[in-house]
Amino acid sequence: MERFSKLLFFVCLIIMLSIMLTIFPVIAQEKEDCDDAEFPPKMKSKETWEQILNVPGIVLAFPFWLLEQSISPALDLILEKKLVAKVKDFLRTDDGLRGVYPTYKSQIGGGAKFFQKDLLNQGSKLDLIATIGLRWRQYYQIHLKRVKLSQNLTSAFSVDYSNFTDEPFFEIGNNTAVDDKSNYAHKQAAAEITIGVDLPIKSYLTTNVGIDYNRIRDGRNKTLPSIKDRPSLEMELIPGLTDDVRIFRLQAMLEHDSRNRLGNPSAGWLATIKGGYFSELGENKFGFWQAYMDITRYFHLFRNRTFLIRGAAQITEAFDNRQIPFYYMSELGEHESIRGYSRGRFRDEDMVLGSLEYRYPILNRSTSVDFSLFVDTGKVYKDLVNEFDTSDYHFGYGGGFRFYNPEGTFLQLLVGFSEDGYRFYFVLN
Amino acid sequence: MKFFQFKYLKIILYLLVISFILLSFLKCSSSSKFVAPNPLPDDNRSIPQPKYKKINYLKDFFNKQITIQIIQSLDFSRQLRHLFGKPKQAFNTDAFDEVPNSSWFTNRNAYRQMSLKEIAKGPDTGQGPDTTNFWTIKSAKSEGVTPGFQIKDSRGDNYMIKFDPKGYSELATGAEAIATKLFYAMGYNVPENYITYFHPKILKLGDDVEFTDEKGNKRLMTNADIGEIFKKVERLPDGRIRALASKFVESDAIIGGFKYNSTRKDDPNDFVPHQHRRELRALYVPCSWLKHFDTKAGNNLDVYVTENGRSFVKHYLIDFGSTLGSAAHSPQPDYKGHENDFDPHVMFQNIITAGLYVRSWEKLEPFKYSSVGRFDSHDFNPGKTKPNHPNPAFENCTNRDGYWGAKIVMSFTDKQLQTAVAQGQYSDPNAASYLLQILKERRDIIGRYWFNKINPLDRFQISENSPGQQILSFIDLAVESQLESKESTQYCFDLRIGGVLVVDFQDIGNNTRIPIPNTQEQQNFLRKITLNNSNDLQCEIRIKTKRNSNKKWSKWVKVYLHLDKSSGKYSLLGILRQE
Repeated sequence: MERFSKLLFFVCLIIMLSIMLTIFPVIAQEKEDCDDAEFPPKMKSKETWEQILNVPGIVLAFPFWLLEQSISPALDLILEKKLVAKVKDFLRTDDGLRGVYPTYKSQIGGGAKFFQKDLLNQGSKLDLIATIGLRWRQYYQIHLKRVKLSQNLTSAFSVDYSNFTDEPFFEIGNNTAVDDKSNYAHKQAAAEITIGVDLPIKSYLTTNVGIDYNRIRDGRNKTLPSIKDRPSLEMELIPGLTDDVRIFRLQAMLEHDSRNRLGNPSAGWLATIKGGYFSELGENKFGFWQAYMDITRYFHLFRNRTFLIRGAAQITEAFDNRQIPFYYMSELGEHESIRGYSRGRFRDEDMVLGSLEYRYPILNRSTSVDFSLFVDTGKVYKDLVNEFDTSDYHFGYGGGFRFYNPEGTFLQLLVGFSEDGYRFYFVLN
Repeated sequence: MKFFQFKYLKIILYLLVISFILLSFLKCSSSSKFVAPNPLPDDNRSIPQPKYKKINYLKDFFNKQITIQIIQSLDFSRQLRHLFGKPKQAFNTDAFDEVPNSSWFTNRNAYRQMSLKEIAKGPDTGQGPDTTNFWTIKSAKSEGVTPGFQIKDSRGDNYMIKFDPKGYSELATGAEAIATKLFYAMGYNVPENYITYFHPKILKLGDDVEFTDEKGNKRLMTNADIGEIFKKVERLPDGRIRALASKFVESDAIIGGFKYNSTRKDDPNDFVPHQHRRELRALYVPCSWLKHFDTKAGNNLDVYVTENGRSFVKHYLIDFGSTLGSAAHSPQPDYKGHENDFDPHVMFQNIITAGLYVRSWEKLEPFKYSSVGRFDSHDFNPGKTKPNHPNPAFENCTNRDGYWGAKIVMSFTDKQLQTAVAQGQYSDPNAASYLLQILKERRDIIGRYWFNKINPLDRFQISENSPGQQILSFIDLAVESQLESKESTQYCFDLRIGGVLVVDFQDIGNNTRIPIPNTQEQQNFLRKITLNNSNDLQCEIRIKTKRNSNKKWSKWVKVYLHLDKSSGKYSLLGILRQE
């Protein structure tokens, strides 16, 4: 009986629609005939049977039509008042030396970056960043860079404050389980002075001294256990968890950037080699050396199709029987390492990372879009030098869109897959 | 919700769809008798002045790029029509598949070859702005890369003054001048566009001139603003500036631009949906020829005019700065014409082919002449060109529309093209001859493409060969335009009188004159088919073409004749072309 009533309902509906679609144009036609008897009625673009067949399409397209109608006053306003030009003008000075633009990264959240170029000398730049994210994640930075000291010598100063309130923690080691996830809050205040020298062949050598103040607290993600919920004995096994740690660091870094362009580089190298000495201030509990190397080579295949090979490794070595705070250890996971895994998914003293990426254009305009396909792999080690093997490597793969203009990449939408599942990445710069 | 698992409902829906399809086919094939479409009423009858309608480009873009695309892709009737090769034909064609003159279009070069003088003159009624006296600036814009002025010359004529982009002298002005002449000769309404050379010192700032700066701010214009604008403009060695002066269309009122779909509600003369107007659908072909891809509503103009005592709306195409190799502010980017500015189909194809498929425009070499820009012929595919944004009229362009457009394009002779190119006033003769060569090559590519889609037999006539013997003659446009040779072409026909086959498949070689039954033969046929109770009969001649290059018989063209039994004379009723 219920089936029969449904059937009857639909048959009636179709008949009614047919009648309506047949009658409406007639009514409209009659009305027009009455108003302007000498003019022919406006022609219908569709016959009745076409209108009926088109009903599902109209129903499905209705939300878009509604959206178009509802945003049309806004579009009118945007066009009439030239809002795009005005906002651009408001956010950037005429000479382009000062401005504000939005920024978003999953780790630091969303916010704004203010810049002032040529502040103290030509080429110098002041950046002020303020971002905020879910669960009150905060990141602030004042960064004055490329202040000229002499012909080739430049300096930089930065002060950072971050409060990452729900950092994931999956224990230490290469074979940790995804179910062991907990979270912690990491507050860090850092100050740094850098001296740099321009080298030939597009290289830049810097050395910096800095002080970091670190504090670990309960994570604010209540859907996960906090790292501090574990028994005190276990907590002792995670270095740095129960201490507020002040670290003095001295680092040297050599950067080489011979990429042919910024937006979608298709040739050249991007390399960073960094070494540092880290020691706890006032105490002798924490102290370590850290060496890091990250090299990316861009190969132009054909017609803007680009192939990237990236290799990176980091070694962290404690000295004088001191410890390495767990948040200074090598990490794998997240956007810059193995995509498809959560940030900090694998953590230990050393790590190796490899990545292959193929980028190809899908829309070539003034603002262009690339699609990228990638495979990332990596492993964390307790002691890379002595325990190196090629087993138990973790893999992530995926693809996504990169939006860029000649000045650089400003938006990335990626999805990465791994044995843990999949993760989306949205980066706005 | 398990409605769709309900099998009876499904069956009923299927039955409904099938019955509609059958009905439509029955409707199409119920009668072979030719019924000439009713002539469309004049669209220049007096109407009250419609209101000015501003086009919102963003809304227009959203509508064309998203809403219409979704509606069209889910339009099952449209899909079914395409599936069965029965696309909706244009609404405003006559019995001979032609377009009558209207407020949109006037049959010109394809109807009657224009003289070279007429081509050179185009829509012009004068010589352009008077450069010997002061120009008064009425308004100006500094937005975008190419600035512009609105001026009034000493004769009191208003012009929009447009410039070439910096570094590309003659690019935009040359392209716009040539395209204006060609679109006018095709039959479209266009403004008078003149290339002019003037010295900046003749410019005089008018009273209270409003100026919109690059940030969109409106304020009173100053002499400093004029100086800023001229910084972006190329100067000749003698200090003069080359520009394009576009004369304001003479009208009672400007009432905005027209869209390529639907009709204008406040214009009762506008009764044919624009997407079903032949001249707008077929505009796709000349646009592909001249690389006029910026066919947004903002590049059209509706004006309220009074002509011969009637006040009505006249429809113009304006702004041809983005034609040939020019994109107004730069040379045409390589992708133009191959992809929409935002093209989800191409993006999807690119994603799934992983970039292994290299598009033809990606292989283009740098262009030769900065004054011509990106204008090539070797990668030109007339059926695949795309405007900047989807155009509803172009998307409804059928083969018959395309053929009609191609007829117009092919009507231009080499000399006419040479004359049109000369209007670009290029300083480098090599650039001008390159442009002319490409125009000819693209024209011929268009001819080959569309004349292959539709049997290009045209200009049918009945004449008397000898007393009592009438013949039907026609022109093969592919042969006439020398795309095919007469020797390599042959024709065949069959003939029906009153629906009865009288002559079955007769190969007439390359003869373009078909003898039709004389009075004695008619009497014999009519006796046989016993249809002599009616005084009027229809005769249907179906003609096909075969070329040596393609050994198959082409699609047919049916020519319908009226046989007056009392006099035995035939007269043309109309034609039907196989889609």
